[in-house]
This record gives sequence, C-alpha cells and structure tokens, in this order.
Amino acid sequence: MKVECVQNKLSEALYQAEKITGKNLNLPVLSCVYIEAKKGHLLLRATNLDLGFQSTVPAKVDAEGIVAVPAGALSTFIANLPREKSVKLESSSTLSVITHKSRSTIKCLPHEDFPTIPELPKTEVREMPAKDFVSGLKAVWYSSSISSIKPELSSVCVYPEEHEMVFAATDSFRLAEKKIKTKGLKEFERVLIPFKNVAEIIRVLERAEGVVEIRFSKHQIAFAFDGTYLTSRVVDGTFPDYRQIIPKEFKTEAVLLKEDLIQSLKISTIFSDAFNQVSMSIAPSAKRFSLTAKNASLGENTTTLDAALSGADAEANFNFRYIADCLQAIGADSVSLSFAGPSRPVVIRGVSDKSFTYLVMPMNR
Amino acid sequence: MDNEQLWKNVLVEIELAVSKANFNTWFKDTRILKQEEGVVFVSVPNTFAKDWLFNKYHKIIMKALRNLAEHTRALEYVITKEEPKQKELEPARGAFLAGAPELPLQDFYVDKDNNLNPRYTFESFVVGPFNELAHAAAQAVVKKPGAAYNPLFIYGNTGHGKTHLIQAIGNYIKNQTAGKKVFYVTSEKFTIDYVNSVQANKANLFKERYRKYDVLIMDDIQFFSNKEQTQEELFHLFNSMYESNKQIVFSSDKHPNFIPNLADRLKSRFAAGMIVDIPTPDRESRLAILKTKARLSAVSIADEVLEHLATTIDGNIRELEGMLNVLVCQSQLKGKELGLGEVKHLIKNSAKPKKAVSVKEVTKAVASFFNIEEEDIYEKTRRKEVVKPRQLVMYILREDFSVSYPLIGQKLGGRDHTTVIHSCEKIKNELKLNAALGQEIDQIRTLL
Repeated sequence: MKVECVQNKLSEALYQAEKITGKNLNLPVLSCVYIEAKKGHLLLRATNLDLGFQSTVPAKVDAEGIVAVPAGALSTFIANLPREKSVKLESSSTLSVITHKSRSTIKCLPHEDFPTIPELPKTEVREMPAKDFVSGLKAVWYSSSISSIKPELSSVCVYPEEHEMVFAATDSFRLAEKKIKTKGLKEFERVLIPFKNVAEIIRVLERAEGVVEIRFSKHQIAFAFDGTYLTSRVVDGTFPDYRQIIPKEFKTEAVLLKEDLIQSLKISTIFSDAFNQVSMSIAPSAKRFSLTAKNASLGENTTTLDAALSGADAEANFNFRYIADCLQAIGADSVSLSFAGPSRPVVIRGVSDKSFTYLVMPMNR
Repeated sequence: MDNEQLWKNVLVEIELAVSKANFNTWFKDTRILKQEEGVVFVSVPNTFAKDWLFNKYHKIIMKALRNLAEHTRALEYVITKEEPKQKELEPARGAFLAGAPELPLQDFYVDKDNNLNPRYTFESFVVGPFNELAHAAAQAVVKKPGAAYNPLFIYGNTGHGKTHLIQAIGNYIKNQTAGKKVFYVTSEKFTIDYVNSVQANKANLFKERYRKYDVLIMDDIQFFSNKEQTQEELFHLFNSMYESNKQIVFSSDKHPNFIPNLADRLKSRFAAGMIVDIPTPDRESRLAILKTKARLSAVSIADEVLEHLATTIDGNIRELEGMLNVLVCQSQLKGKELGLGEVKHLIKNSAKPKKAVSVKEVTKAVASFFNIEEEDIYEKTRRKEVVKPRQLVMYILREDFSVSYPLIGQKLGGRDHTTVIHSCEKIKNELKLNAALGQEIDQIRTLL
C-alpha cells in the first residue's frame, strides 16, 4: 500500500473510528482500525461487534493494499502531528507514516481476521435530517437505564407518530419523551437503540450535514451519509406502554425560570445527602416555592424561587439529579412543574413547548 | 445424537481448525437451534457473527457437520435474542439508591407487530369433547399453514374460546417459524383501517400492507354484515392470499350462512376450507377448564366447590373464569380456603337466574322473528307460515322453560296436550336433519 491523503481529513476519520474499536481481549485485531487503499480513496473500518463503523477518505493511491493498525496509537499520533497539508502512508508488514518532517513506523496485525461490517440492504431506506435525529436522541437518552437486566429499558425507543418522530427513554424512575417534527417520515419502523451505542451514534451523526439515510433490518439499524456508514445492533424487545402513566390532570402547577431552577439545584448539590434528596415545597396559598436540601453532617439550605403557582399546596422529595438532567433538553426559558398528587410522577415541560415531556417519581422518604 | 451433543462435537473439530482468538470470539455463544429436513439452524448472538461465520467459516462448519451427521444438506444462521444477564441484585440496589418508587410501567399487553396476545397459547387451551374438533383443525392448520384447511372458519357463541384458539394458532406459527408474518385483526379494526385508508387516499397502501402477511387471522367477522365496501375489499384480499397459499383464519359467532347481509361470494369462499363449530361446553369440560384455571391461579380450591361451579354456571367460559376470580379474590382476602357453603352464598347473586319468561313474550319473539302477526299463533289456523312458528313456540316453552304440556296447550289458544307433544316431537326430529333450524332456534333464544 502506498497512498497520500489530506492530513486533517484522515485525522478526523481516525478519531471517529478509534472510538468504536473494541477492547475485546479474545480478538486483539478489534482494537485496530482496518485501512484499505483502493481506487482513489482510503476505506477505514472499526467495530466492537456491537457497532460497526466505516468511512472513506479521499486519497491519491499509488499502490493498493490493506492493513490493520492499532487504532489508539495511530489516531493520537496523526492528531498530534504538526499541521501539514498531507500525509503519506506506506505499508508492508508495518505501516509507515511519512510527513514533511517525520517518518514513523507502526506495527500491524494480520488483517485477515478483521470482521466485516454488516451491510444492510438498501430496500428499507428512510431519510431524515441528521440534526433532527441527533437532537431527539440527545433530549432523552440520559434517562435510559444503565443496568442491563432489562434490555428494553437500557435503550432509546424511536418511532413515528403522524408527522413527528418520537424518542423515548426510561429507567423506570424517570422518563423522557421528545417529539420532533420532521420531513420524509415514511413508514419508519419502531426501533430500540441500545443506550450504550447512542453516544457513538450521536457523535458520528453530529458530523453529518443535511439528511442521513437510515436503513433497517430486524436486528440492525444503519446510518449512511457522505461515505460514512455506521451500524448498530437493535434491541429485540418491546418498550413499555409508557403513555398511560403520564398524568393528565394536575392538582398543583408551578412555572418558573429555568435558569433559577438550575442555580438553586446547584446549591442543593452542596447540601444534599447521600440520596441526592431535595424537598420541594409548593404553596400557592402563601405564594411560595422553595427547595430544601439537608445533610446531617454539613447543614441545610432552603432557597425560595420566584414562581407562578396555582392549585393546592404540595410537597415532594426528589433526587435532584433526575430533575437537573432534563433541564438541558428544554429549550424554553421557563419550565413548568405539574404535580398530580402524592406518590404520582411530577411532569416537567418547557412552557409553550409541547414537544418534550419528562416524568420523575418523587422519593418516599 | 441430540443437538447439543452434535454441536459440541462440531466445535471440537472447529477448534482444531481455527485460531483460539477467533474460536473464542465467534463460536462462544453459538448452538444448534433445530434441525429440519437436513437443514441445521445455528443460533448466533448478532449480525456480525452471522456475517462472519457465513463468509469465513461456513465451509469448515459444514464439513464438520457432514462428518458427524451425514444427512446435513444446508446450514442457516439465525440471530437469537440474547438471554438477559443473570438475575443480579441490582434492581433492589438501584431502587434503594434512587430512593424512589418505580414508575408503574407496564408492558404492552399485545405485540404491536402482529396484535397477538402472547397469553393465548395451545398449552393453556383446555380441550374437551365439545371443542376437540376445532382444536384438531387448528392443530392441522399450524402443522401445514395454507395447505391443510384454508380458510379455517371457527364459530361459536361468545365465551366459548374462539379468540383463544385462533390467537393460539397465530402464536404457535409465529414462534415455530421465524420469518412468517402473522397478523391478528378484529373485523372492526379492519373496517376502520380500510375506511381511514380510503379517506386518506391510501387504499393501495392498505392492500399492500395486508397482502404481505403469511397468516391472517380475523376475529368476529359477523360485524362485516351490511358493510359492502369492506366486504368487497376482504373478498379481494382473500382471493390474493388464497391464491398464494397463505393461511387465513376467521372466527364469528354464527355459521357464515347465517350472518345477515354477507355477500354470497364470501360465504361460498368461507365454505371452501373448513368450518367448525365450538358448541357449549358440557359439564365435564367446564370442570376441566375450572381445574386448569384454578391451578394457574395458585390458590387451592376444593374439588366440590369447582364441581358446584361447573354445575351451576352453564355455558359461557368467560363467566366461569369471572366467578373463579371472585372466589380467588375472596379466599385471598379472608386468608383461607372457602367452604362450599360460603361459595354457594357468594355465587348466589352472580349465577344467572333462570329467566322467567311469559308465554306471551316467547310468542312475541317468535312472531317477530318470522315476521308474522302475534295473534295468528293463538288462532286455529293451519296456514303453513304460522304452523312452524307455533310449533317452535311450543318447543321452546317445553325445552327451555319446562312448561307442562297441558299448560302450553291451554295458553296457546286452548289446544289439546297431545297436539303440543306432537309438535315438540316433530321439531326434535327435524332438528336432527336440519341444522338451519337449530340456528334459527338459537337466534330466537338470544332474543328472549
């Protein structure tokens, strides 16, 4: 193999690929990036057997060839090279990286053992703007369960509903749902994307401009745009019927500035106990909304916030982390907290923003 | 050699042929799922493994398989769902850390893709003398979908287990043959779907969607009566599925010939396959059903109680189940097994009282059914269109309400009791020859 290509394009592609390599001790070649030089481009591949990534970098190919190189080393190395226009790669049993001022060799692994990336057929293809898909995932994915006991909960559920794409995730203590109006929604399948793959999918798709092509099969989902291809396993299961637990009628409502809430939750962090507990007291009768955090060994704090309140008085305890998590997903300046009664989930939404819904269960201590 | 042993031996051969790293990565979570007519189905954990085994190791695996099992013709890789990780203590810990009760999330009751309720299976279906024919037909259908009886038409009164049986067909086919698209739909849903698709100008999408199913199960098709456009759509769908040998299963509460306003071309098509009836369960079957359900509820109920239930509540299995639930709930509440006396007291109100119906009401129902004047039945006329209804009134009064022969005669215009006896005998004899008459009587009974 003998090629020359633009340094920052290669660096970018390697950075993406490196994140997806596997740490599989059984098969060391998985920690490599697979590089194939062929007809005017370099093809990069990486996989951890859960996600598969493939990307092309335009290159001047003098001799075709294939290598499998440890991804971490190559990626860090190329990223740290002084900025130059181009970089040359040559390989025999090792890979030589030649720039204007430096020459280095990196040991390769036998590339024959490098697995293929499942290529999904183009029969079931949908298209949608990449940024819509990314913002949908970002708005909900932190709510997925980290535990692997229930695979359907440690995933993000994506499905179409009329003219919107719905993204939902829950770990059974809180739940986030985001609806995004989008174009080109033909019959999009209902799909469960594993939570641990979502971060990588977001990172890769963030680079896409315009639309991304989405393909489905029963066990895989794949995204393709400008020479990049990413495929992930999907979870075989059914997401719970969560709509029915969203309360429809509320007893107490509070509307306050998002920024105020974020600030006071930050203070609560300092004072809260090992359970991250904050007590919320809403008293429309006294026009008072306050947050209290207590820690036996440190002290306690009560913050009063300006809020528009209505309904009956209410008190509830929450894990402040669960509340703080959702605020980044709310675009509006004001948020509304709606209480349906004791031991029922509280509903958090952006004011005049129907697209995002967040549910948190109160703590019962 | 069973599948497990065979695969173990295959793996030994493969381990010698490939490197350790590759063996551990690709063959660790594989096993033989099943063998069918020389085709071995190997279960693999994911698409990566499927592609890689097929591209790289297909020949080696095939060779090893042939060495050990000569009849092997082909090899298929099937991705199977990973088993959930060992039950960890984590949920309890998670809940403790979160300090919050969980959201009351519930699974979807039915599978979104095929509308089937996984609860309905053949295993939970109790077979008795009353439904063994229907059960046998269903078994034949699942063994050879599209070939044995196509369409299969099951009819019977409400609560006799039609839905259970046809959903069991769907669940069985779905679980046995991966890749078969099974779809369960009620006739009402089908109608709504059709109307919506026409309104949205997407009738073509509707056709396409239904035609791609391999097995279509349609429940309660008596509701198609009077819906001409939907019937026509069903007719075309039926033809296209039938031609491509796709299994169709219908259920209804009546024989197709007695569904009013159903197009003749549909009736004749339903008759082309197999039409089976699930009649009212007999006492023994009711007892068997109760025993099975009682076992599932994990509450012990005395046999004499079950027998009492089976005797007092007749006919409808759904009512039996409801009554059983009441008993289970009560005995859990009281924390002890219920005695027969208590049970009798409990079901006193729930058991359907024998309806007291006056002669006049029966006469009225029959007259309206045959569209004749009520007075004609009481009069001494021997016109043909009146004689039969009159005999039916006598028969129903005698059979269903045990009214004495002389009383029936007296009430129906002062007739001799021998006339009444003759009429009842005549209907009884005719019933043996003429199934349509039985249907008519059943329909009249529902009017009472």
